[in-house]
Amino acid sequence: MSRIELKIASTPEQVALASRCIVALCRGIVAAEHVHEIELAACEALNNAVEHAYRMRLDGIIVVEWEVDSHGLNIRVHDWGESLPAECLDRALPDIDPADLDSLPEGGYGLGLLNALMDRVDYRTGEDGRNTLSLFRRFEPAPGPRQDAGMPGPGDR
Amino acid sequence: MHIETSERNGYLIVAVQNPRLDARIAPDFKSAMSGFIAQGRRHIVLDLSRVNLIDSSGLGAIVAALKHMNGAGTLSISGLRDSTLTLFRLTRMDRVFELFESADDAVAATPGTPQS
Repeated sequence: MSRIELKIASTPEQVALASRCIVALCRGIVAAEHVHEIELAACEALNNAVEHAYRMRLDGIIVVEWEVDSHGLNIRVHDWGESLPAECLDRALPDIDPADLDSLPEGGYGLGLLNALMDRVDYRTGEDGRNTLSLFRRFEPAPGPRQDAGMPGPGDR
Repeated sequence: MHIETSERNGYLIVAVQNPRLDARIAPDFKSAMSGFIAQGRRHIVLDLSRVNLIDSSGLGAIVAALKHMNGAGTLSISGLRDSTLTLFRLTRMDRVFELFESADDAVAATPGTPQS
């Protein structure tokens, strides 16, 4: 198991830096074509702490845990600000009507994106007031010469 | 924020130079776009070919610009990479905006004529 913790202030600059660190950590561990999805998810989880937990205050503390085990990648974002209402966690992406411009939402995509990008999203508040937004992404099986359920390869015919 | 603008065949091409259009950049980006629209620019191509990551704040700012045009003009998007196209597909914004491979392709489209 590999694990590292990053501690940052609740500023957009630090969020950008932390998500770049997460990208660097994921290279070689997450399939290259999926690294940007992890970066976007990490960015949204961190933005959530900045915007909702700390309400754009710049002096909040955010701790990001990055952990890889045999099942997949875990990213946990801890803050000590305001807690999210429980119902927010199940939020899906807004159902938009492309023909109705006025109805297009300018926000509210963050948690829906997390749910779309990650295999599991969990949120809890501890007795010490610490909020933890946990993201889990399962590792995809490494491509091998034969996949039982996969399409037949050229050598299988 | 760093954007470069150019003009071609009646289109204003707005090329974002920052690698991330995120919460840090979104407010300035939104005001810059509002400024162009307030100047009467009605056909804008947003060139995102240098942008590696757009988060929900950046997306919100792009949507705000489209709404600001109030249906009187076109805001098309060019140069999305795999990483930024994911966001447009997941949020179904690929059905709201006309997407082009390059700013040249967007300019080649007739202003105001939706492409299938």
